[in-house]
Amino acid sequence: MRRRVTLCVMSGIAAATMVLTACGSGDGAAGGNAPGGETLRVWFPGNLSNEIEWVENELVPAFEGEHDIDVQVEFVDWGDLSTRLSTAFAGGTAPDVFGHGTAATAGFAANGRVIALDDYLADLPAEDIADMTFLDHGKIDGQQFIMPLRGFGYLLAYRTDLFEEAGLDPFASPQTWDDLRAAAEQLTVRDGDRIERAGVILPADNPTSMTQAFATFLFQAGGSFLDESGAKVTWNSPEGKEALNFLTELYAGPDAVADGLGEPTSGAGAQHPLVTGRAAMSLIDDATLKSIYEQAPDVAESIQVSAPLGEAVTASFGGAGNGLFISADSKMQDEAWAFIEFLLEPENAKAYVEVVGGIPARSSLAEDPDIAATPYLKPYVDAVAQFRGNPNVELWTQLRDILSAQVERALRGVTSADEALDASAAEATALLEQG
Amino acid sequence: MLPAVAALVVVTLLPIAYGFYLSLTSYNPVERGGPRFHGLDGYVAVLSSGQFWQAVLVTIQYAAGTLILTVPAALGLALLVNGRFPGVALFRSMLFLPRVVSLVAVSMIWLWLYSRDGLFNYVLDLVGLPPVSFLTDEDTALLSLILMRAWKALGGGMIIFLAGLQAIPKDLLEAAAVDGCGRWRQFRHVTLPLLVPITIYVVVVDVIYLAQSFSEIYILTSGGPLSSTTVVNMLIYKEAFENYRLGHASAMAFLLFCLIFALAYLNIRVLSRGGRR
Repeated sequence: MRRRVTLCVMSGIAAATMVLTACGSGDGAAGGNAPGGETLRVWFPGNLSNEIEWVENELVPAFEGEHDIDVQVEFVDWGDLSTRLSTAFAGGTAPDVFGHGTAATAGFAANGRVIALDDYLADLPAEDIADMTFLDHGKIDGQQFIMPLRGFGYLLAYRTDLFEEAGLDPFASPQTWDDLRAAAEQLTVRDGDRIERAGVILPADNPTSMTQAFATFLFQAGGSFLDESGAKVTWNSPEGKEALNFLTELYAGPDAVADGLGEPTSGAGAQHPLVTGRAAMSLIDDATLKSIYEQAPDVAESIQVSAPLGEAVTASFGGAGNGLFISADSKMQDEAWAFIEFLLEPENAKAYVEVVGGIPARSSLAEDPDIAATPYLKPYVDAVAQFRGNPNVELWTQLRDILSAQVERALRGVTSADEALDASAAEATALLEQG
Repeated sequence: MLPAVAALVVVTLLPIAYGFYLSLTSYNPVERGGPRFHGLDGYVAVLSSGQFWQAVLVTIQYAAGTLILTVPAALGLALLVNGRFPGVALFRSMLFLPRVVSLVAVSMIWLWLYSRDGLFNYVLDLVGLPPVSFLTDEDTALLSLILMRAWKALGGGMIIFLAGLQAIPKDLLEAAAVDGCGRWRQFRHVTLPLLVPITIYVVVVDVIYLAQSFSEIYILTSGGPLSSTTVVNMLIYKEAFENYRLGHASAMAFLLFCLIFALAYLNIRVLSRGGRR
């Protein structure tokens, strides 16, 4: 009896150990498909109800009807995406197709988690490839790893009624940093030391969005995050310091014209400070502007969007937004590519941005009358050539976090802009050297 | 007996052992090849990281701040609802209500209460005071979290104290009254000493619970601004799922276990000594 008990315990422990070991190895030997391998598993990032409805009710049924492939779609909130993906990789249960931002491309590619798509692309007509707006943003060392579904960007939006109220010409938007500062000063309303209405606000929900705001001004100053090899930090160049000093001065001292660091503005719709009147100008992305048009159409009528500011360079932060990868462990890679190709067909690419917002994945859609008539899409489509994105290097998300922590410190006045950039550059350089 | 032991081994002991093994490795789940054994390197790296000690400090401040508010308030409420008056059951239920609502739901409600256009700033505006950046200012964010968490914990503490109060033999209080003790002296010399075991329980359980806080911080501040609300659990999450350093995250988790054990032990020692005195 005792031997049997011991055997039971030992086999229980052995089984559990095997289960845990399988969870930990993450080699993907088990493959990434549902049993039977007949259902294509797709993870879309986000939780936009419009997008969920369109994908589940229109896109997937149309694809299934055309290709005779069952598709199981799951929407994963952006905040949970890294957690879900890393555990899926570790457990060998990664979906066949998954969406992510382009910033993650180099990391997934370097670790062999996603496949290069060049062979599939080679089968597409040349005019189709030429039509894909952001294809280059998804390349690592010349190989295509992600197919961008849309683009995004930051532009300066302002309230024309508040411009008129402050004696400014509502049709003469700021063109340079000096124009921006001067307009912001004129638009700022103070009650003693307190700002009642900010002349301008930046995307500053969290340190990452603060860094995206910094990137806009860094690019306009003629600077960059890294050098062309991607191995040397350049954000603490004189151009970088000029950009961050300009931003910190917007928030600092009695002459501050900006506030609201840490307040949620991304996708804020009717709660956005431009709508509530707590800000007269805002550097704003396409999705947030769309949310304003949907939730506060009356105020949206008095919002104008200007082209990127031109300092040394006319540029702004933006580029490829989310896109789709094919998992290297997928046993349905051809079917996965068929799904991606279907989603990027002109009518679906158009429907996607109409639902989600942003810049269409195909440049030919810039001429589409519906896109051109959509006020929250048109300015971003027009500015597409001026948008610049993050560097495609493996450690980018960690480098960005190092920079973000220091950019926040500078904007909050804890440290100077120069010290923040030098400190983050030193830390990031050490990380790059460690590899 | 055997199923219970097997369940304990499989569900509790083996995951803990595997977690400890991970803490001795370098492991990025996105990389192929699984964990690589690094011995105690991860512990050394974590213990020499300023970020970790800052998170330990924030965790202690958060737990201590919440307890300082919760324990006396819970005891006060328990004394209040210990009497018999019309509607006392309803009153007790209302006070206990926050305890049964999910922490995530409570956090979402408080996110709105604390927002720039939320209820608290609306009230401040009504009385002519300027708005407060409750969650977005590094000077107020931790305090705002503590207030929310204390409100949430109040009902649970109150119920436990109430059970302790109702277990005190009435004849002891009557004897004290016969000896000329007023209500304050009865409370100070009879009720309070007899509540020491209950207080130890409330404090120790809350310390264990609060030191593992995550969801409310994730929802309300995500550890910001300027890491002023980054508790150890938040740092573990960031290390594991944002930086993909599961080895470091596991080492932090075991160090957090040591911290919780030390805090709980310290509380038991200090409060037991106070009770004996």
